Amino acid sequence: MAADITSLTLTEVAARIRTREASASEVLDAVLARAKAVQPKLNCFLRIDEELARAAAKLADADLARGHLRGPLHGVPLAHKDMYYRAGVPSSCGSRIKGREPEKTTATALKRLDAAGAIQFGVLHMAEFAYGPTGHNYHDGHCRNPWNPAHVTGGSSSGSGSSVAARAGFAALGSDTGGSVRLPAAICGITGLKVTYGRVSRAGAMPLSHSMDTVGPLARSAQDCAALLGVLAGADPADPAAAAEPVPDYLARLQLPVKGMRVGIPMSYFTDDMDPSVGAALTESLKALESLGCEIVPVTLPAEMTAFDVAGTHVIAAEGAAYHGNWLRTRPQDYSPQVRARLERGLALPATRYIDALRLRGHALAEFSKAVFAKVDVLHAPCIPIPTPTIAETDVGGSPSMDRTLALMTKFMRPFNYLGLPSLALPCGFLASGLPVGMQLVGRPFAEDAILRLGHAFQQATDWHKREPRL
Amino acid sequence: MTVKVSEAYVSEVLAIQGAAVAPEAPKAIAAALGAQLAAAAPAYAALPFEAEPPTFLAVLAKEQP
Repeated sequence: MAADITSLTLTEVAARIRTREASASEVLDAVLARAKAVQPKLNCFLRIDEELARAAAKLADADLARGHLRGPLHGVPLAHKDMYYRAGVPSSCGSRIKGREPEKTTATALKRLDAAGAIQFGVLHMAEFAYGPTGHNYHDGHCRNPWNPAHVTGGSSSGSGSSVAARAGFAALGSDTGGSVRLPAAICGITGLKVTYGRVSRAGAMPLSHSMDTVGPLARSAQDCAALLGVLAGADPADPAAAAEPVPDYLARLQLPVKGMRVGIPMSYFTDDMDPSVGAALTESLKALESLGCEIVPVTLPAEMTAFDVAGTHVIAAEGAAYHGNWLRTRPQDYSPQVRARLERGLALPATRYIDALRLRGHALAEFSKAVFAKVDVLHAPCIPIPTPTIAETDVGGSPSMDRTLALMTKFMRPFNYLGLPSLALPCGFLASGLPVGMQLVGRPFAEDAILRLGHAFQQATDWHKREPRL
Repeated sequence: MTVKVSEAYVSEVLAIQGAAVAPEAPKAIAAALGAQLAAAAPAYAALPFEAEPPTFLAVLAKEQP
């Protein structure tokens, strides 16, 4: 029974609790048992708050017994990346610098999940200060990939990807500044949504780069991401960048047809450095989309894609270095050497180049939209062009090609942060090694409904997202 | 196009910001920064005088479906 519960999707388990087929306490018991079972192998949790969660589950059950349904996530246990602040509780952000003092505010994302009835039962591992694409963390030990613990999880939302894939959580919050939702989703074989810049409030979440940071869910399906986005999205006075655009009923819009949808395939940039085995899985995914009635359309991307990627790097580097300036001066020894080196690069970037990167951004989005969205509704792209590397290969001194491997892991991610566009990462196959392959579906600004709808249709026609790692 | 960033520049600009870096850091930072600046230089150079950072949010709103 417990294994059955943890294999349910978020929407399925929420329905079971709502209809009282399962109590919140039973569901929590199953999730806690699974979390404890996988933690020694995966190191995906930084803390499990068992007593608090059990008390909250009892209250949720009592509320439901009285006929009070708090919201669409009533009684659903969730854990989140340890960078979403909750008043009175420390958040380590995967670092040795934060995590000693209790936070003063609660993140808007957590408040919205609380209001929807979710129960937080722990906090998840992450790359130090969310500044790393692999999931390495030298302070708390590396988080492990549930498909093969020798391989990276992807980062920075490493624990979110690993725990949800391992069925130790139905979904989790991640953050995506340069791929940190989509990389662990793709690498761990789950579904992750990087939202349009401004779609979800970042208030009370650890900042890395205010021009690029987004908050988004990792879950088992596009449907679950739709359910969570409906709870999370919307304006927030506490985050000036949170957009006032209306929040559609994302779940209802999953039912709209995808037949006739135009799906673009890039003729450049995203074709670079493609490993044949990864490319084969992506080609198969296009056939599946075609069988759903989508029209596959080749598109020519702007010639400046590499410049857009580098400009995104400049924005993150400069803003990240500014946020960390005081600690870089006073506590440099408390950073891991890798994260410290990344942050120090930002200190050397001329201010004019940072401003140029911001000035270029509107032009970049207009050019990209003209090249892509004038012709298609959604762009189909790989997440990473190579098979998932091992932890050792991407460790310091682990391989002469380490820098190139890290660059390839982020190359297809960061442009969409810079362009501010929504992107859904989802599994589209498995390699002979047993490791998942991910694809991205990229939409127009605030068109999360379109990419979720297409992702949902793809997942109705395929079963890659249902595969579970053996642990 | 190549952009050469000197280690001395990196050391000094980090020093005036109070960051005490490891001895080997300036060389790596200079190399990475030079490559990045070279890659973005043509796009930055083509920017019109009037382009301002907030135009991004205007384009984001305009390009909605």
